[in-house]
Amino acid sequence: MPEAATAGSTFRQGLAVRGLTKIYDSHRGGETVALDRITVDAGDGEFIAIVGPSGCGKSTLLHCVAGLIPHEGGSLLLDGAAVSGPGRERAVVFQDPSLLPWRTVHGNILYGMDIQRRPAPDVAHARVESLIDLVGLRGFEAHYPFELSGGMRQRVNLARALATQPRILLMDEPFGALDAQTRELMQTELLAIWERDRKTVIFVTHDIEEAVYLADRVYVLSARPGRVQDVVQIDLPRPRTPEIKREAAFTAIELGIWRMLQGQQQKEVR
Amino acid sequence: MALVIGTAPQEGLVPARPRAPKRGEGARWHRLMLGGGFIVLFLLAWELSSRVGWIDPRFSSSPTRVVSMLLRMLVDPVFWMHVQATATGFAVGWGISVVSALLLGVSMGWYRLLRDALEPFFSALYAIPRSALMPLLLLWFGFGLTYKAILVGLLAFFPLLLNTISGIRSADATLIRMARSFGADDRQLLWTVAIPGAVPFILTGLRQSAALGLVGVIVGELFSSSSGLGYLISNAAQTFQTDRVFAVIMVLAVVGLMLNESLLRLEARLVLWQPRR
Ligand SMILES: Nc1ncnc2c1ncn2[C@@H]1O[C@H](COP(=O)(O)OP(=O)(O)OP(=O)(O)O)[C@@H](O)[C@H]1O
Ligand SMILES: [Mg+2]
Repeated sequence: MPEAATAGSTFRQGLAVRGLTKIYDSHRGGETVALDRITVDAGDGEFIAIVGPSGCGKSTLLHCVAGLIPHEGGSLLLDGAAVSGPGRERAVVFQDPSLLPWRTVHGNILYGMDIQRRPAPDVAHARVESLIDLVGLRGFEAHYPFELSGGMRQRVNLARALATQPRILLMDEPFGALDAQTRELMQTELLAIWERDRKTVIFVTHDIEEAVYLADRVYVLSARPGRVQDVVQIDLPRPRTPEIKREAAFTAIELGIWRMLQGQQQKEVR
Repeated sequence: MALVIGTAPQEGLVPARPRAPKRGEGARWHRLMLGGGFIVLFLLAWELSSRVGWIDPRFSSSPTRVVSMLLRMLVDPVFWMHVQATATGFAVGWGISVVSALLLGVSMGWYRLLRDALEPFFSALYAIPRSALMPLLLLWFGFGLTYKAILVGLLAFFPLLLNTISGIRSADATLIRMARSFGADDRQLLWTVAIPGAVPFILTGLRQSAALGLVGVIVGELFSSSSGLGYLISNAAQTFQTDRVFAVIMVLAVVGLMLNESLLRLEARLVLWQPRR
């Protein structure tokens, strides 16, 4: 509730990452600064994309926001209150599909709801059924993960996160393993879900085009240690269709972000 | 309704009927012919050498003598009494050790504190050749069921304990993280991630412990007992009845094979989720 606001005037509904710093202790005794004073705002219903070179800390940031790992500095606020661990209002689509090998497709999609003991079993099963259609896995309900392709596993991963109906979806390169066509279909479907439910989404990706297509705002991270190098507001009209990717306004933004990342790489080489 | 997406056409429509399960037939025959063939060859050689007189059948018997002895024993109620004594000793000892090794293995695998507390003790116990404890066990419990069951338990306990511990400990960190992201508590992590993941390890442990338990009960009976198949063997050997010795050994071989085979079947049933090797 609003009175829990600790961030003073900057408080708003949604997720606020303020000056977040994450340091990993290396087993060799050294330290890796994975995130350096990251600030990201994701207001209710916003679609945020995060791009950055490999190893810049995108997954780390997502895991912090999910409440899975502690951070060393800064703060992490949900509706103005500090986040102290995982919560039902958030769900993660992991970079690695992380399916339980001993559960079928159906069982895996059910898993989050099993853990949270809600909704009632019949509702949960009905939800699984509709998600199986949604991610195009009809006919594979009884298959085990080892019998699925990489892309199919990733779709189960997505369905499992959607099944708990979180307010905030944290997605870590969810479509990275898919072929171009499936990827585009999944992007469009994700947008459709988002238009309908207005979830808050934090979407990590390598793919600049994907980020621009999906997001309201793109955070560009720099290479190690991860810092927010730039924030790009994407004011393209919604609802968006794949055709928009060919438009001049779209490609201009894409090129701009590409240059930012390019500049970084050159800095790194020097 | 929901748009169907992500369907490369051949995926969604025809849920590919797995063609794999037929793998059995050819390979099975191959195994049966080759493996069975060797056994037959061995038996033939044994029979022949004893007939021709290369080996003395009084010492080394022969397949036909063993089989005819076996047939006589199988209709003898005294033999079945001994079978029952061995079976009871094995079942009680194995049962107790399975239950305790599972409980302890899961707890020690999951709770670091418990592992740190108990590991040195069990490592030390494991290092002792368990047969060295037999005189002590006899002293405490005398001949009979308790002594046998404890000996079986001591042997069968460790393989299952160690396998269970390493099965639980090898719980996949990415799966644990995934489960935690949904808010799983410690108990849910154990039951939905660690224990199912440990099942293949546990089954391997079960097979090893059954084999060792069988050794335990026979050794116990050989060493000192007044009943059981082990007793039958030592008794027959002392009275020069080699046919009898071999007949009992054959029974034990069959029992051991059957035990192993049924545990393998259980395994095949429980770990459907693993790619077949
Ligand atoms: N558990 C860990 N312990 C120590 N260092 C870690 C750990 N996880 C990540 N790191 C380090 O933190 C940095 C950021 O890793 P992270 O996985 O967040 O990168 P990423 O941006 O997601 O990369 P990619 O795009 O390749 O997935 C890397 O330098 C990595 O070596
Ligand atoms: Mg990553």
